[in-house]
Amino acid sequence: MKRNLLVTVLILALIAAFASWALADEAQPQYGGTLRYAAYDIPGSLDPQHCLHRGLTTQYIAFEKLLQYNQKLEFEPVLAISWDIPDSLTYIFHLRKGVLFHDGSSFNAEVVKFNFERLQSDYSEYQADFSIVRNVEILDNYTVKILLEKPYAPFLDLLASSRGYIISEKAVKEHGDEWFQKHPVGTGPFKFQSWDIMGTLLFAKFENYWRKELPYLDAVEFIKIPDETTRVLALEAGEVDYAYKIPLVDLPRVKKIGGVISNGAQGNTIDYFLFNCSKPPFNDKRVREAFALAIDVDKLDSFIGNIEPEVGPLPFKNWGHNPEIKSVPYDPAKAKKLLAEAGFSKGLTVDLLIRTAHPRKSQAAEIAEQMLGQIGVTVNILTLESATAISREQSGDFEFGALHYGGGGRIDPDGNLRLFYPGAPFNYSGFTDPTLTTLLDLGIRITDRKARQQLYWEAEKIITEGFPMIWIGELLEYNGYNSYVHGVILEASGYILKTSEIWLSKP
Amino acid sequence: MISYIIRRCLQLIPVLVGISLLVFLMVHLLPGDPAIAIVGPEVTPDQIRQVREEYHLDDPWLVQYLIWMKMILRGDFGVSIVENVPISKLLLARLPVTLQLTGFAMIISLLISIPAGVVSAVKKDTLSDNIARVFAFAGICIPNFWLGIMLILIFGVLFPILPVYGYVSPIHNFPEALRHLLLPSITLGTALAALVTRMTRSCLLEVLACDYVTVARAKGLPEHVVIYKHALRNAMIPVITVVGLQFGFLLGGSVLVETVFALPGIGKLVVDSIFFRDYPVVQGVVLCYALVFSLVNLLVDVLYGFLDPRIRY
Repeated sequence: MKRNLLVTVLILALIAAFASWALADEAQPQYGGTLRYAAYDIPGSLDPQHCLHRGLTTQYIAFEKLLQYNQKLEFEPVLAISWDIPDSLTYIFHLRKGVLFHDGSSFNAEVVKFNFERLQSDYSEYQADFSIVRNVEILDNYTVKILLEKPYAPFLDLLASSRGYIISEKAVKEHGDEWFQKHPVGTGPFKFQSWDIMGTLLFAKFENYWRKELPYLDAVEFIKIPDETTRVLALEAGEVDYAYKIPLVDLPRVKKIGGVISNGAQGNTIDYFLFNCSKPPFNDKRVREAFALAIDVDKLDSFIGNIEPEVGPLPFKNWGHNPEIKSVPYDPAKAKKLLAEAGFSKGLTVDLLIRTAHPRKSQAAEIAEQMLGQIGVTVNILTLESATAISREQSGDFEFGALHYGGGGRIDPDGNLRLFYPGAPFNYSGFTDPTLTTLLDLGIRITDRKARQQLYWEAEKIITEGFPMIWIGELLEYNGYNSYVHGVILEASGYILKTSEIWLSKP
Repeated sequence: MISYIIRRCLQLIPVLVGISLLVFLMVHLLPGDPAIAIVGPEVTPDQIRQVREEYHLDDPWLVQYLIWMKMILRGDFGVSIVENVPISKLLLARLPVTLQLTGFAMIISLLISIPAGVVSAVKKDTLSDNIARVFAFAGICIPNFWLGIMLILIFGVLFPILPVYGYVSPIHNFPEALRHLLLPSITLGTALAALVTRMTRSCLLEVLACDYVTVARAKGLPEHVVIYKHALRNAMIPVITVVGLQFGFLLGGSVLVETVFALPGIGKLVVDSIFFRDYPVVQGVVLCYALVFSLVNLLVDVLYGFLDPRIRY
């Protein structure tokens, strides 16, 4: 009996030891290795304040911000350890000590002041965003006070976006802006090594990174592979470890190779059909509403697939979204009635402008064309090359279009809703409303989130009831990675890979 | 011959000036604001203003053209708006990639197609002829981007013996360079191989029916001497013409192959530059293409003299 008990205990101990060994290998990050990231392009400028970004994000790996969003979309400290907001015009940041830039210079209040001045200069592509800052005062070596021109509640959101990266003052002052575009210097976990004219970008581990235990990787290499199918094949062949934006048809295959992660999952980007509300026929709200009633968005979404349904300008996950807003019911009979009331009882013909860069919107357009055909609307789909299409959208030379917008990478609801502000750069629909304008003006002036939420709920209601758009949803895109790549997380905006957390388990 | 070559080179100058004006006008007539094309759809007025000021996009087109021509005459092609590097540097780095791809594609296709065409003509209406003709037909019909992806799938993934993407300079590692160029060159050269096979077959059949070939055979010459020394040389003249003209199509066709295989050549560069309205790059690359194409045609004309002693300049 005693012997049996002893044997049982020994066996259990062996099992426990084996399990913990196996689990430990899986759970414990390993140091070393180079992540080979297949990107669709490499930016010409690596300066985050002047990168003419074209949607590319590889350059941000070398930089950090004062604060950032965590996965729960709450602010968390990075280069600033804390901040006080004594009144609506004043922000005081307490900076992290002991942080070095890749060139050995120290991060401090003077560097922050320099960065704000540069962001407000003509050189910066974010000059308009940072014009809200009146003054940056150095209180001591690690404390800055920022005074705004007027109250601006999304100020922290601005600093947490890709506009808020902090660069080395020493590097710019010693070498100049042009040099900096090809030799980025930040405080990030990886420092710039080389930019190859042939399409590779190499960053090596920063040994003096302030988070002593990170990064796990020795290096990150960005490789330009423009074709998405080739990116998948390279992943499958083991020639790259991470592939940006893979074809949806290859999702099952890539899931077998390793894993996938949705691009923009946390962001605010929504796709929609857009009306030009400033000229006939869509200056008549009845026509816009008729179109919205005639397009069964649920069915359209299920045909296209891989789409996160949305019902308004703010995604469901955004704190500013009004939960009472429902999707427009599919009602072709009512749609026909509205068209007749608007003087189009015999139907009408419209041009739907699509950009060649958006093949999934072309699919959506074809489905919409069929659905609108049932209420007597003839849709001519005009597929134009992107630059031409954008020019026509900007000049108002279109009737009906298909676009997407994400608040410029901002999480704050003001980012998406500001699209409907009079004179807003991307307000191609031309839809505005005086009450809406007042609500948006108030929304950025008050800092209490609950109060702002009420304003934005009302604002979203006005927008959805005005039908400037038909919201299709969020067309999901995916990145793929091999099975030995772990710790894959994207930043809250959804597009930037958090390379500091990634580790490789292959030898 | 030397004076002929010099005359042809001098004739290039007005050709290149004409092409430069034509391409300048064409890219500037493209609809769409270049600032929007460069930055992207979510471009702010600040960014538009910056790009337009920085690159003199608001100057009159004649002023822009004259500034550019003045720079070209000094050997300065300007700076790429998108890549933010001197265009001459881009061309020096990337043109060799495209030329290697195109050259290697041409060599592979000629090595396959000429023997195939000869066999097809000599063994007319046999199994060998039928196989060669089916290959030629398939080669012309198959889209080269699909072929490229299939080759990657087979030789890069299923039987991983060749790399899936990328370029290695032959100066750094010649064997690796060949490995990286093999699949793209086969992809690019297949259509040319198909065309040259058919041309060689039909030209050789025509020549083999000539009287002097009958005389050569009647004299008792071995068949391989009749074919390779007497018939093939004469059959090659129209084939060389077609190959020379096809070089231009190969240069253009390199765009898709460079995209699929992620080769950093100028084909993909020029197409991206058109979409991003990177005018200086488009102008510089098209001028380069014109120069390369003109030199290849000159080479073809000179080759005639070697193939046919009756042709003298």
